[in-house]
Amino acid sequence: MEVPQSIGIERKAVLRLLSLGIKAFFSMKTTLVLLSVFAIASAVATFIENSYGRDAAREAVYNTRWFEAVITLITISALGNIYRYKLWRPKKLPLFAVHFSFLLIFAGAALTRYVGEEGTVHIREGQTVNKLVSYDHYFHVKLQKEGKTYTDSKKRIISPITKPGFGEVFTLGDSVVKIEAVDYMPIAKVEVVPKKDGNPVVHLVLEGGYDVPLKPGSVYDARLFRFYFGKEPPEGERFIKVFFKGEKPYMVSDGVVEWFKMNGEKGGDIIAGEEFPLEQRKVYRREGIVFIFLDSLKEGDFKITREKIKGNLERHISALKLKVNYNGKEKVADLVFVKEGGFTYLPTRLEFGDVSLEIAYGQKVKELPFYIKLEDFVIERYPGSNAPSSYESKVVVIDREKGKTFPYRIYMNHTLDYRGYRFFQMSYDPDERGTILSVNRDPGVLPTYAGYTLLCFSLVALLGVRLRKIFVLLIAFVPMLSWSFPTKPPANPSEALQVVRKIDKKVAEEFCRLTVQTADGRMETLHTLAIEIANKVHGKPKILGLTPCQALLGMMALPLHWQVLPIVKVDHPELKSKLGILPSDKYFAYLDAIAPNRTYKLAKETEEANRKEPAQRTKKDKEALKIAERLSILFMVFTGEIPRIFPLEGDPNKTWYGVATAVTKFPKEEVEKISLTMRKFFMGVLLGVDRGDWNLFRESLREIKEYQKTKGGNLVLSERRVDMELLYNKLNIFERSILPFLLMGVLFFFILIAEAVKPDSKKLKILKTALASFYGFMTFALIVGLGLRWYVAGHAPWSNAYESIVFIGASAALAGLIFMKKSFALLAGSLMTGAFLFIAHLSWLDPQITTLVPVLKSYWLIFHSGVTVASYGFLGLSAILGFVGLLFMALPAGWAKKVNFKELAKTSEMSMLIGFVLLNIGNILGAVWANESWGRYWGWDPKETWTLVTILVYAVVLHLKYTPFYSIYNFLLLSMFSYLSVLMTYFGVNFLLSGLHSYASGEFALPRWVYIALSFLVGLSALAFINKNRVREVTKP
Amino acid sequence: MVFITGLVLAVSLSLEPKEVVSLYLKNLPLCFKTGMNVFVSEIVEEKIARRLQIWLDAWRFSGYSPSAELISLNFKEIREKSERAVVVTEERWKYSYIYTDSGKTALEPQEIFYEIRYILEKKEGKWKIKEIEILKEVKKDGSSTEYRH
Repeated sequence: MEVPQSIGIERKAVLRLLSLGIKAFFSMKTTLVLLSVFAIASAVATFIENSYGRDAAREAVYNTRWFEAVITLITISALGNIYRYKLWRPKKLPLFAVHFSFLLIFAGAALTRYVGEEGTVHIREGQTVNKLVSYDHYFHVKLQKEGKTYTDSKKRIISPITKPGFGEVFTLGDSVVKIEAVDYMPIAKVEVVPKKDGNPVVHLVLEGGYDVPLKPGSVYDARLFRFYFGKEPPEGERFIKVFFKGEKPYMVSDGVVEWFKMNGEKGGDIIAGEEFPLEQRKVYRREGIVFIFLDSLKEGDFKITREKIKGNLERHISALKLKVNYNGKEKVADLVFVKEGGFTYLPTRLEFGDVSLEIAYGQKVKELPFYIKLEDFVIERYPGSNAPSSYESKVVVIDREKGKTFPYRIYMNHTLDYRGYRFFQMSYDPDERGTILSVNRDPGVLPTYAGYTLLCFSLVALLGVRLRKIFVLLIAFVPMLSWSFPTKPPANPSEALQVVRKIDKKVAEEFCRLTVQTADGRMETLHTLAIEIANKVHGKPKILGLTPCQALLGMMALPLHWQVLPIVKVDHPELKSKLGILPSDKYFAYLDAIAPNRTYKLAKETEEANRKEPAQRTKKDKEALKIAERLSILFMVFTGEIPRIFPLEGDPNKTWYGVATAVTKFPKEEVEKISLTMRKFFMGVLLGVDRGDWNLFRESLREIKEYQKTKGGNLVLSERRVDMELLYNKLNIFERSILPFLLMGVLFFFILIAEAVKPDSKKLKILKTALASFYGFMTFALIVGLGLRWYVAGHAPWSNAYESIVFIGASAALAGLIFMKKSFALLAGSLMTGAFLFIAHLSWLDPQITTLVPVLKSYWLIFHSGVTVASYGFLGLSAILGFVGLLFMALPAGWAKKVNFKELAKTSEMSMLIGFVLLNIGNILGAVWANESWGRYWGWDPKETWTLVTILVYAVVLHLKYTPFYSIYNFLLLSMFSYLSVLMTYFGVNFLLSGLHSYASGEFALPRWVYIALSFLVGLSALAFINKNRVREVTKP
Repeated sequence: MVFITGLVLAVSLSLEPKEVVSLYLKNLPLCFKTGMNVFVSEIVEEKIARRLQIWLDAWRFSGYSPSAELISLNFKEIREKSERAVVVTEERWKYSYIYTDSGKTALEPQEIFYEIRYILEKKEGKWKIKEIEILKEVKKDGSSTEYRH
């Protein structure tokens, strides 16, 4: 009897331990720890990706077992929490839906990863294909034994951070092949060396320095065609076959290959099917792809050496030293491979007695169950520039199995869905006669989309429960932002100054109503261009007291006068000295930059700056480049290259030209017309300046307008559009709002302190009401400004860095208004809005309205970017409230005691919750947008990864109150510092990391003030920490 | 750059066909060294300059620096008739190719003999090389190629 009793005790202990373990696992603490690990790992991965490429991030984090385990544990934890907190009860249904939607999303992600397949299909015009090339890379092994061939492949990521020592085991029939990488060279150099009993080897080099080391059986993808060596190209393939004829290497191609000799000798064409010897020192070119024949040997091998270049593998050769074990027999062999640039197969062959073994590493070719023929590939461009507006592939789907044939157009945001495969327009050949389609078969999309939908609805429902009144307002506001506007694209200096000031302001404004085409093909008013020129050249819109329009008209008509005026901005003492101006001067004249021998004084500095890598440029270098740009703009205005006001009838790109080009390039009769008009234009200005008679000038303006209408067609801006653009420019709402919002912030701060001292003061209440009304008015003005910009730009005003920062500012202002009943809301809203508007107008952001790249031409942009950026405003408000709370907490106890920290934290939490919901929805909409545009709803792009990190960070902070870690101090502290994740998502990714969403390419270093600000926040937090116990309500409410 | 082009232009203004070919052969190694055709672009037709630049870019952008040394030059034939001239030369060159980054030899130095025909045309009082044809090529190892044009 004793034994069973002891078993019973043990069992109880085990069960108790198990129960404790389950309880601990399904606790909020564990969930938050797991979410934090997920967030930190994802964030670290973005930096790995930035330094070593996407494959390195996949190898180190995203595709690892431990990362998968973390995600799985979070999923299980979510499931456990549903059970533990009984979330199925009617009251908690929105919460249940939120957690359940995550389960669906994770299930979808798992299906995508383990069952789905992805790749590319490259088709030339007229070509029919049924093969895709996988994105993933594999080890391929082919064994030939007793007349039989066995093959096997195993997926493996090899990146610049891969360490040797890894291996794979293949079972091929009754044979076992083990391979182990004993050395790995991420970037290798190859050289042909003689080897007794070696194989034939040929070393070609593609322009750009990409080695093409060919051994028997090799296939190398040169994008428009493939090199084959010791292997027959399949039918329908575009190829250059290399082979030996006697001791000499030859090539034969299915297309024309040109060749060039070193002295410019005429060279020649090698026609299709002609066998032609490959010769050293000759350069060959097929369809724009240039290659060199470097070396070859009938009996030789490749000597492989390590290159010490860091970074992505791109199309460079990588190499592995493999220890190959076949049924216990061991040999060492080199294996070269190329990671990017299409299907490339560079095998290494080994002989084990009668057994022949072929090993290669590369992508896999998979067959599609149907064919696709490319009929035509079309690129549309923005008028006047080469920037692509949109591109599409006109294909025919041929399904012999189902007996179906149908045409289809694939373009950005318009995919082909057929038999479980989705095709997306990804890229195209440099000669624009071939398309590259991204293809995937993703069974995970359905559960993921179901999860997304459920998450969106449940989050909104959750918000509705928590913020009944505000919710109604929010629901009313968000659609308003998204739908209110149409989205259709819709002699001496002083003498010179006396003369240029005679240009009539009103006449100049009339001149500025003309339509002009910008360098990137956008149509805008001359008024906008004049402001842009003034800002670029002078740093301010007003030059020497003249409006931008007066200045531009003067520069065009009186260039000699403007060349002596000090109008070009300069901000470097050494450059000032080189230009021969005083250290205190802020501007120099165009002629100051030209030396007596007619050379440019800063030529050396500009050349040096140009040669440097952007990251290595000093302040002087950057200023030298900026000055060169300013002078070049002026040069173009003085010489009549800009503004581009004359449309060329019948131009395929609908390009408009400046007067200088128009009078040389246009047909004779047009040149005569333009010359006559421009004579009136210049004479008109002279008459106006001299006698105040502007009639002739006005006549020339009428003629230019008429010319634009006749030849420019629908590109000419309507009168209403011109009026709106002029209004937008004149109001300059965003820049003018900076000071009022910052001042309001300061005033609200003092009012708050005064209220703490005199809580019943009527004067204070009146002042507060007046200030709140002004705040409301300014917020309204911002919204009007955004609307005007939308109308003028023809697209939603959050498509570039400047626009979206302004939009965050406006959202923060609105968030302040929504929470205005809370004492801190307007203070935080004003500071936040003022700060964002200020940042938007710093010199490194360009407020210029630009055209959209094709992928942004989607209605998903309006939803995704708009909702996401709006969330930043709410999260920002929460952060400012955290900051204000800590600031008050750091004040002497007597002051701090009068502050209602509980209300402050609650307001911050409300704002955070709204921001969190919007961020989730924005991210989901972004995933849908990505799926519609690029064919994958999640690709671990740095921007989307950082959005996920931000979501995880805020998820942790919002769940904190269910743990013992919660206190008002901790919450305020975290709400303030959590915003760093938003800043990283928004600025950090764009300026520090590379990716699809990047506006810059790593040439941005964090300014010093960022470190100072961070130190201040840390100091403030420390001070508040010391004081936190002396104030009320700092613990759990 | 403008200076160099100007210099070549100024020098080439009063040159005879033989001198144009001499200047071209003298400046060709400079093109190899710098990767730019500007040293000869004023004395050859645009299409030749373009082809030369394609050749230069192919090597330069692939990480190789070609170098050439003209060991001997003999003018075999010079014919001039109104605005057209034919110059046939016998040239012996020594070529080598190095890796631009490391400076190591990529292709061993090789001596080659060429017989080349230059066709020149006078435009606006200035002789320019219009066509270059290799008639014969003999490598030091004895292998030779006769080109039929």
